[in-house]
Amino acid sequence: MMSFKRVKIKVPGKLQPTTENFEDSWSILQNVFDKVFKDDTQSISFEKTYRIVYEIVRYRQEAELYSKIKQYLIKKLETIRVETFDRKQHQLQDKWDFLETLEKVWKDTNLHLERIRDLTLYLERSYCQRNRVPGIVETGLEIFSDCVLSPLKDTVNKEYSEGVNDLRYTHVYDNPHTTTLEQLGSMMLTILSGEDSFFVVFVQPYLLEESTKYYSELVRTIDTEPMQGFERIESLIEFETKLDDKFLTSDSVTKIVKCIEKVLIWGNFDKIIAPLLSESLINFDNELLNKLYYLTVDRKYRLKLRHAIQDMIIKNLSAIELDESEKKKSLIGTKWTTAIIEMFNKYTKLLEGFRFEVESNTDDNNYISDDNLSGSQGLNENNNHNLNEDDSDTVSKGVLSAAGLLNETFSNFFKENAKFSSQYMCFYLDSHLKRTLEKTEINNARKDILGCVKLAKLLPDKDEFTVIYKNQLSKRLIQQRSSLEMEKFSCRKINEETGSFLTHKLDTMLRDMTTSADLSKNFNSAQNQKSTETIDTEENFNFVPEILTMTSWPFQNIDSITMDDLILPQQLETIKISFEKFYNKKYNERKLKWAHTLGSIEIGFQFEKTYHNLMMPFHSALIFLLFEKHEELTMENIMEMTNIPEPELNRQLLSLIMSSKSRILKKTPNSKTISKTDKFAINYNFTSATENVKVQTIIGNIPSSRSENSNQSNILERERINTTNAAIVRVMKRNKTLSHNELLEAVTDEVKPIFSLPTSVFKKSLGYLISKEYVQRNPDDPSIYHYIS
Amino acid sequence: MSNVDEMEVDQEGSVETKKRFQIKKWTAVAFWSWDIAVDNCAICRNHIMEPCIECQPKAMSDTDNECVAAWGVCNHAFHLHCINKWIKTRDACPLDNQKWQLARCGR
Repeated sequence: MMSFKRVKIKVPGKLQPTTENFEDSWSILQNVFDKVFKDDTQSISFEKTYRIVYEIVRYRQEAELYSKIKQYLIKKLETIRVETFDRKQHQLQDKWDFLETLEKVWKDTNLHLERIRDLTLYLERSYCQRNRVPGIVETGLEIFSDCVLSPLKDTVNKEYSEGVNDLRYTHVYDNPHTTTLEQLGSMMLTILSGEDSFFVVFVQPYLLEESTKYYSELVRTIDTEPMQGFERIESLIEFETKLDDKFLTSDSVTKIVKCIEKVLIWGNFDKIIAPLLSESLINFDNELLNKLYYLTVDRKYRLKLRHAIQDMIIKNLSAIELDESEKKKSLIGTKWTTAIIEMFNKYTKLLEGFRFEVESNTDDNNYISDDNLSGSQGLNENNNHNLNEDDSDTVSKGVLSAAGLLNETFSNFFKENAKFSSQYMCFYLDSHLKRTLEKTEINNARKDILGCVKLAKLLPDKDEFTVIYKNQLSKRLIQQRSSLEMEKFSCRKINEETGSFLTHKLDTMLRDMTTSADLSKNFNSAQNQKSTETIDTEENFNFVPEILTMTSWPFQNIDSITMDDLILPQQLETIKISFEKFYNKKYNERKLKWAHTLGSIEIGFQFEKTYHNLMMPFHSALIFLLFEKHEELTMENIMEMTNIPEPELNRQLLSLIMSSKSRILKKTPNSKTISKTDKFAINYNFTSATENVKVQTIIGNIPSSRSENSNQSNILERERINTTNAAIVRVMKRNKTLSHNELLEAVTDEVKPIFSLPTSVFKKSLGYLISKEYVQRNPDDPSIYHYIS
Repeated sequence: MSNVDEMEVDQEGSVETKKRFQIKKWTAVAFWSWDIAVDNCAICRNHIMEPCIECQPKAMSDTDNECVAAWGVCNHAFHLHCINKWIKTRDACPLDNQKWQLARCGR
């Protein structure tokens, strides 16, 4: 910095007498400084100046000199300001004039201050550093800020922001003006004002405000057509980022970009973003969604987007209509589930790879992780592995994967539709499993089952799902409507997804079927050996015994379906007895109770015109077989010969003479009611298009389907109360004393993996526990409970 | 089902069938139970008709595995697996504290 002075150094020949008078010395110095400000450096003698400073310092007048210089600078810079800006203000109409002048003044002042510092270097070294006062340059800058910049603050703000807007308007970011702005920016960053730089304290807020205003104006001009509007927003943001990069620090760039994003995006969220989002979700447009999502890194925006996505998915799901035109509820349910699964798969594909923001505080995080893991947590530690693989990345570090988001969304959706979602999903599984008798269908069915079970995990009431599934499974198994392999597969999957505590009964049912199949094979081969000896092939038919474990099947009063006083035709009786013998040989301590109502028989019969295989329930078959030996029978006869109780017989006969598709009996007189003396005979005229005919029992006056439903809900409630009892005891044992609400909350949480707790169940369960003296109310405050150990 | 097919051939083969009735298949359902009343196994709390708690997980895959019930002379019943483990620590019936003597095993 001193180099420009070096040439001037002369050998000190005759020492000029130093001015003893400080005033004199100062006036010399002042003169020198004036020259510096006039850029007249040629005529300054460095040596002389330096010596004067040196003498002053030596005479201990440095403090005085320092303050003199300060005063001088204040005066000088004031003057400069007044001369360049105040007086000429009318001439500096154009902002660029102003900004460029300011830039020049700044550059000059910097240079001048440095020179003055060099000239008074001795003062700087011996006084400023020793006494820890700011050096000449620092002081000068402070003065510059006080005397020049601060008085001009408003003008600077205005002109600077206008300058930026000007650049925005021209839409060019490589421009000589950019450099001016950059220089000014760095100036304002250098100059301190209080804690932070002048720029951060004064200009930035104003600039942000102005930018916001500028873009708010611009927003109004944006096309209302969402796609074009979106593209415009995108390009604006891109331009602004590039432009700001040219002349601002990265910190400020982020701030400004954020600010204008706020204006552009939030101002247009409903008008542009929301419609586009909806469009992308309806059309499953991955590209568009990507663009929307990555428009900005703003967390709030993404969070809002995420919620919007979830809302829209639920809306789209709710739009799936229940096809009321179908007669059967099971068909409606299957259709609905198919649509839901299809949606799920499409969304999974659409959202693949997205990471979603999570509400920031940790509580929320925990909440979400709880929600997602609930299906697997708790009661089944063993089966946790499979699930955790999916779920571990769901909740990593406050980010939600697409799978997590969908799980959350669908689970909410099912919660909203808790009334039927479990049931409909079971219908879906039922109808798909029933197809698995065809070998060609198996692979498809496997896929469908997997898809459905994955969603079953998200149901709020998994116990309800299991109860319905179990009922349907029992029917499928007994009637052999599905492939046992596939049933096992499906149960295994349900087990993996929902937990073994719900499915172990299903396992027992399946095992019964496997054992029965083995038994049947062994028995039949033993029979065949015998029959070849007796040569009585006529009697031989396919006997399929199904031996069930009483406790595992969802039949209510088993005693009522195992009335074993029916009179069986000889043929059947023989084989039944020989099977019982065979069974006893294998299991010596066991007894068999036949549940004939659950069984079925296939009978081949030659009618007048056609031959048919009649698949019929056991009771119908008993009645029908009577006509092998009799042409005509009264109801009384039939009752005597079969021992079927009257109401049941009535029902069976009615269905045999009434059913439109399988009228194999006729009655005289032909009326719709049956009296004991009415006569029955085979309807030889019966014919049907298909060889196999299913003879169905009409529901008749026994409201069986309704009772079945109420049965189901009874079982469900009983099981729920049991689970709740256990949960309350567990919670109370841990906490000893709890208030009503605390307890309710804890228990709701505890049973959440299985079902969502209805208050009625909670009340019943709590009442039961209080009466059994597990739990006690506080005598003073009935809303507080104590655990009695 | 192969049986049925064969018989169908029989049926059509004989020109004048005297039997118009032909039972082809009977799916008969029955529940089994022990000869005497049983309840849950007092040791593992699973029902005695079902496998004991240790056999339960493997019962699905492995049907040959039999988990049988055992009666003592005192007429109390447990899973054989359970009571065998029990008498290693104490040779008495868990329910009545009499010396355990196995009366019979049920399959």
